[in-house]
Amino acid sequence: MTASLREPPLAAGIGLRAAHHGAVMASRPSVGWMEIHAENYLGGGAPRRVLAQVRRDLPVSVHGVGLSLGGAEGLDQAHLDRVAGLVAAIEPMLVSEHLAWSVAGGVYHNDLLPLPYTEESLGVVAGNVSRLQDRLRRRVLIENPSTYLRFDHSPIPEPAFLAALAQRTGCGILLDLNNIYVSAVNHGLDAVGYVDAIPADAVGELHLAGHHVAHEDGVTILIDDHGSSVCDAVWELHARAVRRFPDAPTLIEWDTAIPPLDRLVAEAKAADARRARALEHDDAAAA
Amino acid sequence: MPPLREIQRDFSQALLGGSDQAIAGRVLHDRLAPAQRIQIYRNHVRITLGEALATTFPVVARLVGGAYFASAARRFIEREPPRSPVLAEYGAAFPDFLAGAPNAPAYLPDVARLEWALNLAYHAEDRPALEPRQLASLPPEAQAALRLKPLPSTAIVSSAFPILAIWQANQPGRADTVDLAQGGQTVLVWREDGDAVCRALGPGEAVLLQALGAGRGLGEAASAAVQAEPGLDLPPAIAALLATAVFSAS
Repeated sequence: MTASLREPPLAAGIGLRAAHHGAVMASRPSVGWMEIHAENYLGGGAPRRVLAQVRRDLPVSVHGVGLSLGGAEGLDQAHLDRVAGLVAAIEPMLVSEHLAWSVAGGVYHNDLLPLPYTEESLGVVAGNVSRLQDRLRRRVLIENPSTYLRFDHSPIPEPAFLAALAQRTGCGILLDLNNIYVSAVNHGLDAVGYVDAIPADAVGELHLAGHHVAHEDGVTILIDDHGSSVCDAVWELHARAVRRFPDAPTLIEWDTAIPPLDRLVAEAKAADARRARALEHDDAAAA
Repeated sequence: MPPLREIQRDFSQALLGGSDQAIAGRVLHDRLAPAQRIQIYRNHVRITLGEALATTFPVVARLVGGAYFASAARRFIEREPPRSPVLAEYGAAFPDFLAGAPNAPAYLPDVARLEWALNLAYHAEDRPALEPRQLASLPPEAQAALRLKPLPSTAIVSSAFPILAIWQANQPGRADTVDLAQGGQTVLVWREDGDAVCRALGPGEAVLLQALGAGRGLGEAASAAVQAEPGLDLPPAIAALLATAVFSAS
């Protein structure tokens, strides 16, 4: 396969954040698409007005952060209905959520909390993903989490868990390369092996972001704060991922210490340039 | 109880100020102790929910200072954690919680109520507002019997303290002093062109709006308003309220 036979790839996108609402209303950012966090656009008023304009200008993806697909108590029907209402209203190009839980005992913890990877949790997540897809009447992508702990009983490796989830529910995978790297460092695992273990036909989107490097008792711990540029090691994973998943569009996320919009646009352009170089090398190697 | 449900219950307990012993027993001890790894999640929950409260209650945060606010937020998060994944909806109970906070100024809960009303106004669902011309075409008898419904973005906050003056004096870049002896204020909150805005209401206007909000007809609400403020010039007062996007078109 050569680059010329592929569909023209969608240029990299950026996450839409409230800090940039004024800037995106003033002029259309020069990116391929934008992604919103569903939970920030469920009301009315100014946020919805901004979203409506962005949706007129660019392809939009809806990324849920609060459905708690890993929750053993199942989905919150009222919240599911609100997310479904947003999806129906803006008809996004993609819908995604996380391999994580955030609700227990009806309490929302505002964090993407880790799951033990067992047959039991696979059943729970698959049931919740199927319910979500049935409600939306469309396929969703499920994102790999960044984690800071592992459970002592968690026999299924995370990429195998995601692959089984995709197979069982028909969902796709949103592969976050920064999350792979963060978790790999935090647990001493192989990030490259992770990318290679993900089924190529399941990946529908790639995420990139920066992380914070912390040290605890002489041990390096990476905190997934989305507060800086993408680091070199994550760019290398991205190059590997675009060769393996050439049709998946890339998104830049930035959530803390948010810089001016121009900086994010520049980061998205950098992703496009790196993607093109990675594919050239791929074609050269194949020729 | 199935293991996953139990794990999530134990994890939740550790995140909300309870013991981490039960969940730590299930976490892999790998270079760091389970308690250290759980602490990373605990910090995240505490910091991000504290930031969500500080975003919704910026004037309260400025009035009490960062350290006091962080400590109050932490206790509030443990006592009243969010029940909705929409962070803009978190904090309805914070004003009442502040009423019991140690050494907090007496006006703090009402300032928080004003900020909560502004937050609701900003995020409220979109509904068409009543246009004054929709009323102008009605005969006078129909106008008197009319029942107006406030928009979901409209609220009235009454206080024995000058909460609007306090709120205005604590906007970014301002550092005015407020004379508490000036007495209480009743504040109208609404949404205008996407922004949550507020202004003080006179006693008659306040009664008028509260009566309308309670479902009483315009004529009845107007008499109650004049009773509360005998000098009130009704037609301009009603016209001013109608020119503000506070009533629903349907």
